[in-house]
Amino acid sequence: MSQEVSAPLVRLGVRQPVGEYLREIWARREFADALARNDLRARHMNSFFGQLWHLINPALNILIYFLIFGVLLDARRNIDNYVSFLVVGVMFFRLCQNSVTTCANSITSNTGLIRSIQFPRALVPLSTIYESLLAFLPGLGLVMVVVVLDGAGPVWNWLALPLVMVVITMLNLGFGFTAARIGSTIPDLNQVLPHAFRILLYLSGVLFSVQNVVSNTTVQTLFALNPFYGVVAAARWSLMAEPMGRKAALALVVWAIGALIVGFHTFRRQEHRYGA
Amino acid sequence: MGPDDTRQPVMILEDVNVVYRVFEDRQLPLRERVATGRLRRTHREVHAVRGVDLTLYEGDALGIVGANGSGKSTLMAAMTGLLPIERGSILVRSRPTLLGVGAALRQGLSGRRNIALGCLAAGMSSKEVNQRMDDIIEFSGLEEFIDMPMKAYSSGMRARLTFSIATARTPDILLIDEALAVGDERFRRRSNERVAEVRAAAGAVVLVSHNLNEIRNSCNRAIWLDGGILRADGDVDDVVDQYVKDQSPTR
Repeated sequence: MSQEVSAPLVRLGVRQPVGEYLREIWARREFADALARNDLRARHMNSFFGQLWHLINPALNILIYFLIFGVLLDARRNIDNYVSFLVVGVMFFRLCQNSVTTCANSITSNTGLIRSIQFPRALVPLSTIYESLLAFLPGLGLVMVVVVLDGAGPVWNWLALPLVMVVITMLNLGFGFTAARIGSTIPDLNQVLPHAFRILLYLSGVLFSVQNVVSNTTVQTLFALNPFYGVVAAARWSLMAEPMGRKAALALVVWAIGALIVGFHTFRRQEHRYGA
Repeated sequence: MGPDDTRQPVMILEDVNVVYRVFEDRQLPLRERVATGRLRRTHREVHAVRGVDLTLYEGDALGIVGANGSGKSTLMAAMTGLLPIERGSILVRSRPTLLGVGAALRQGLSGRRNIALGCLAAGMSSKEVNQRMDDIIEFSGLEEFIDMPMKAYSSGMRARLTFSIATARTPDILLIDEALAVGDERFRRRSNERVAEVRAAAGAVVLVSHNLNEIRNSCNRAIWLDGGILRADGDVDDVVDQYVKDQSPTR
């Protein structure tokens, strides 16, 4: 019997090199897509309006915020196109909030899948972010309609929207990885995040214009350093040609890249313990 | 061990130790907690697997026997890379496929969608999934129920589906943790066929079961795990006899 050279034995539990890990993720991109679409379908499967809720929900949110802040509290002084201003801010902020919050318990809600099959766990938060994006698209369409009806668009900046979406997605993915890692071991995160985002809502200039309310330049700079302020400002620049400060733009890009690198690395460190 | 020497090793375990950290469920009243300085819940360490050395060869079907709590399932989970090892190392030729009890997929989805998800997760392309879908459904014997949500399945049906998905592509190393216990006769026969396929393809199978007859029939080799320690390793009948003798009430 001839001795065939067997494939070399690999040590289990040792972290894969990044290149190999990424390649395995890419090889399973159809899985991420299937997972995201199945989750979306499952969300409204038993409801009467079904998939229509992906449109009704954002519409209702927009309506409520407008009635309270636009009409009742009259926060719209000194802001042209307040409706668009508000709608764009709310929708994009919610995208960030939903993405990160869903990622926080993405690992625990996929325990069954994780325990059954070996696959790069990064696919779980990745498909969650992808799913949030898919759910966001109908709302985005609605926003663009509102912007046009309000007279703030269309503008040439719209062409930059895909690039802005890439940067925002990088940010959400980075925070998503971190949230997934922390949320997999500390369920308390699910309680903390809604509060954190409520505070961030007020610190991101979603409901009012920071320029109008804050005169101190140091404080304005602090606002610019908040990545979610950057997200909202970038969205408004892209959809309404609302000017965006250079500091905020730079801060957003730095945050996006940094969050993605740090988040991915943090997530990978726990790779072998997910689902245990 | 005779002719084993010419076969290639498929998995090597060296001094494998697995430790569980388990948090107690009690909550001490606040007064006590402050008094003793123990503000967080206490945790205990359970040394579930203690220094196991083992080499698995091509074509082996290894049975693991032992009392409840002896560390069998823990060892299996460590072999898949699902549980971190405290000390020691595991070397594998390829990532083992684990078939476990309660390894459920997504309850709200139909069996068909779970097959698609499971196969895609394992690395198949969607083209391959479409090609194999009918075979997988046929193997599971769940044609009638395949489009119903999995929460409507019995545990036996779930086990059959999981097994079908996990063996859709002949695995190189297959670990089966008491999952076959819930199948009926027809399923048992078909899973033995799959096990034979794996061995014929120069892979290896590890089987944990309390059904000693199943171990004797399906395996060529066995190990006896007792309190996390490897107490016997050799021919399946010898080891199972040892285990049975140890467990008999005449001691």
